[in-house]
Amino acid sequence: MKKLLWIKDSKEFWKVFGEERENRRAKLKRLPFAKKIEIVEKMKRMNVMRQPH
Amino acid sequence: MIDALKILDQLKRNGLIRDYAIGGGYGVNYYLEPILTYDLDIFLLINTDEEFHALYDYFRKARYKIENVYIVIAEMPVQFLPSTIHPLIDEAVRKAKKIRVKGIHTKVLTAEYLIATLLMAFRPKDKMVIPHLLELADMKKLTSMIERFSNEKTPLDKRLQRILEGIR
Repeated sequence: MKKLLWIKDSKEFWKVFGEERENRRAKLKRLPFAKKIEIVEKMKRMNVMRQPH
Repeated sequence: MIDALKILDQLKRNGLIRDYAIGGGYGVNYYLEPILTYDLDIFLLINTDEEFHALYDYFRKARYKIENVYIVIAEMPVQFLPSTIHPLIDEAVRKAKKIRVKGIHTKVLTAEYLIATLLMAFRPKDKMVIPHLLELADMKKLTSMIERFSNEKTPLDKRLQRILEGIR
């Protein structure tokens, strides 16, 4: 992600952005199911916290 | 979620549940990157409606919270989808992949059957994940299964075609 901050050319920016997003998705996809469940539960807790009371 | 799986495993050991497999959002999470999912879809192998009612009776007597279509198990809203709804579910549970999560033995629908169940529901969120699951699916297996279970009411073949056309 750091690399993105230094890119001035917009075409290059979106190319690197897309590549990094795909890399992150592929990395997350490979996680063990138990770890993915932990991530989902964290997402749920954060979502509940964000909701107005 | 883990606690809900522990209880489901116990119910299977006690014989109250013959067999089951994880599908829906958590099924998708098994194969793809994690997405926010609030409920747990459990596909159940069940022969009769009476068997299904017996399960609900058990939950009622054991004072589990029942909210709409969900039974709240260890704080997780669980929706049970019995095989009496559609023959595809029967086959999907029987052929589901055996997995172990934190020491708990369970099953998850294979990518092909998961896609088929998502094609049955065919909501916008299902349409969004199917293309990603297709990358992992055995297309020969999927198309032959879709052909067998397609009918006028649930035209799985036409729905799959629409998704494939969108990818191209």
